[in-house]
Amino acid sequence: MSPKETFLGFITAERLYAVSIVFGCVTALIVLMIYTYLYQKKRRFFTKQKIAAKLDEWIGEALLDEEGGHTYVTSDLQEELQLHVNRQFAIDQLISTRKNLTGRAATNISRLYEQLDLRDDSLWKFHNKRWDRKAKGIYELYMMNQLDMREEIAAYTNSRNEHIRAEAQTALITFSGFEGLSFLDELAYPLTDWQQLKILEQLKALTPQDIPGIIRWIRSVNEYVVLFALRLAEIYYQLQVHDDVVHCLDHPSDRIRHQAIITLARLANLSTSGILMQHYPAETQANKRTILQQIFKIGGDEELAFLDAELNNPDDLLKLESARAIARNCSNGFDVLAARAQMQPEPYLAIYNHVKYELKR
Amino acid sequence: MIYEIALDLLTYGIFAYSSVLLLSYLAIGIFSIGETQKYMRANDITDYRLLVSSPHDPSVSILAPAYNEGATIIENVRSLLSLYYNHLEVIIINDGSKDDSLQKLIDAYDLEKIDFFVRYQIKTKEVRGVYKSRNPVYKKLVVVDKVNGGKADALNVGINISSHDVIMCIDVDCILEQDSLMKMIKPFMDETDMKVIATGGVVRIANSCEIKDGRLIKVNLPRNYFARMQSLEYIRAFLLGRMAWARLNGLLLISGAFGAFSKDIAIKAGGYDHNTVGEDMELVVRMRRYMEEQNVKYKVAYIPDPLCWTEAPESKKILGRQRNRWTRGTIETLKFHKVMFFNPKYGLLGMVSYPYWFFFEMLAPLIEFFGMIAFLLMVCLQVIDWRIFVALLVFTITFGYMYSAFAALMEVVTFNQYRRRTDMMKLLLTALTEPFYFHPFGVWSAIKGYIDLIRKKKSWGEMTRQGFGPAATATAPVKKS
Repeated sequence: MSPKETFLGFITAERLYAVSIVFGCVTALIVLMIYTYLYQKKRRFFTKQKIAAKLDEWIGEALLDEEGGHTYVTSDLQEELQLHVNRQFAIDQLISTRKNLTGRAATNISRLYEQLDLRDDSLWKFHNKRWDRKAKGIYELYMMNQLDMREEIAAYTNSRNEHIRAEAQTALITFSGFEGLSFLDELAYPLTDWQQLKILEQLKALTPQDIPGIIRWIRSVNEYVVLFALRLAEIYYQLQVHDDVVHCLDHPSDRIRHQAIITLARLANLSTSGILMQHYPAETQANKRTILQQIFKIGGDEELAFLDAELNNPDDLLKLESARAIARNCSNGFDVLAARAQMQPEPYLAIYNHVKYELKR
Repeated sequence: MIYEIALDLLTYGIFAYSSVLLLSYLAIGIFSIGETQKYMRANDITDYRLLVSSPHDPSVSILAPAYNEGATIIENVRSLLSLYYNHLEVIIINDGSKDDSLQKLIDAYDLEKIDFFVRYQIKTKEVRGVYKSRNPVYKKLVVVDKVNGGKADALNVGINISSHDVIMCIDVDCILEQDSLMKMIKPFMDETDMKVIATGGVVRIANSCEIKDGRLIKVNLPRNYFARMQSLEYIRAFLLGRMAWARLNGLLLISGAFGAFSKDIAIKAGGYDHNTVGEDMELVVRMRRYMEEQNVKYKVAYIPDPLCWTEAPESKKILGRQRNRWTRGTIETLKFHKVMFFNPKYGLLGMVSYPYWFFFEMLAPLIEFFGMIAFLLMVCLQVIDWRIFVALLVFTITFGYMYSAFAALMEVVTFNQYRRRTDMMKLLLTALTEPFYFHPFGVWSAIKGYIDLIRKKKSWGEMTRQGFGPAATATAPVKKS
């Protein structure tokens, strides 16, 4: 048989109709699924409203219970809370309430969570192999401050899965505050900017403490840990790492050098501007800009010659940053810029006017 | 003999093409399930509120070009200024409007012309002035007045003016969800060994929705047939197509109405190209090409949440112009970057994404159109096997219905914007008409796009909008720059 005959033998009208019927049946099935889903969703909505109303009542009791010994009549929702989706809804509601509470009221919400046996659900998720369930289990456990789970959760701070790892790290900070940062010692995976921000926001709510591991972390082989340590040093003014931060200015990673420049300016001493100017020529354009921005914050008359030379830089952005620093830090800064603008109006007059307007504001 | 060979080539060629296309749709459907599921699961425990007040979030500049948007500009800007984000600057670029847009902005936001050193990192038309508000409440607002140069030129001015790290390019008349910025920025913060160069977001149809003070109050299914059809089309494109391409890291298009870009890479790649009417796609392709040529690992991320709502054309005339322009934009972009076609040097971009767009986006309307002509010829010559023809037609149409129904299901189980069952019924019934009316119309508009391209037509064409609110309904037609 020729290929054409084989083809014609294969693609017959009967076969095409048969496949079309399959497509039609699948379409009908999908439409049915859509309707069933929407119907169930509507039903669930009413059940959820009932649960929410009861939870509100309990939450109200919990908020007023200053002794912490109140027992909730959980039998009222026994039937509804047998369904997994409803239990999940109850957990989500309690977490959402607890997020906005502290002290006794928050503890009472956790007690309600335990009395409703919702902790079992979180534990089931935590022990599940699926990454999303495990991550969610960890999330629920730390949001409900289940301190006894600390050690078990800590084992996952270096998990291969980014979501499990992130939740476990967050849990550790929730349970132990600054001490929870100890996971950085072992971390072999990335610590994304998002996760760093999340941890920093968590720490923001706590009283600042010494960070004993910070020197180790700045010297870590994990670049993400170094970056985070530099951020910690900047925010919590960790003067003891000054020399290590200076070392980071020679790090191969642009991002680490960028953060090191910012951190160093925060920990500035008399030598800082000099160190930054020394590293300036070898830097990327973006990091050069960061150096100029930091000199803007910490510089003085001593940097005038350097900044004046940078006004000749072909990059307009660097010209502008230099002008800003001159205007702000040098005693005759505006005169220097005005003289330059008079000598060469294009582009210095616009730069001069720009800086004048900006600093006036 | 030659006639027979030609006929066979045509028949089997079109058959092979259609088979690969259908298989691609299946692959897209399957990939989108995985990617959407992954996103939904990860998103379940993400608290975006962290970004509202954190001093450590990336700084973002919203770039919104405006041309003759006087009727709605005040409301639109107010809506943008109300977005939840800490380090934000909203740059409105008045692209030489002939109406009173600028004066309205000056009056409403107490603007004053300031001394601003414009760095022309990307070459653009002249900037006439930069305005900022005297009122500290509007300190995030920057208005730029420039000589008219088109949307791409206006966006490039925005890039030049912007002082932040990430640029978010939007259509000024879009309605953004309050948390849209936070969701769009997160992929940049999740970056590890791959540089995130851009994030695309979902655009949904706002026709018939309730909008108040620049905010979406209630989602309704569009009452107008064309808008409703586009709702389904957008669900298919954004929830299935782009999600699947995002999974492969092969996304070539981020909607011009809503996309975030790394400013640094956008500048290095040369900014928007004003020589094409498809500047949104062209920028993404160029940024990707730049990264490939620099041999740097990168990613174009995608967020499936419905975060941006836009008004879709409701008349055949306007819709036709839009599709005409999209076709020209696609052809121009692919032509500019033809060096990547099946070029292994560009990896997945050259070997999969580009060829897919070439064969199944750019050539599809052409092949369909000539297929139709060939069919009519064959009918005249009486060489049609009607049994097979009808069977193939039924096969294709039922496949299309199945695909549309699947898209509707994905919408329902994920973001479920149309919650009423009657709305879903209307949407699915509308889908039944697609192969007989909406789709052929789209093909014809695309063919007109080819013709206009051959005639070297460069304009966007008039894009009349109804506006969202009752006040806006009566406004004069506006022309997109």
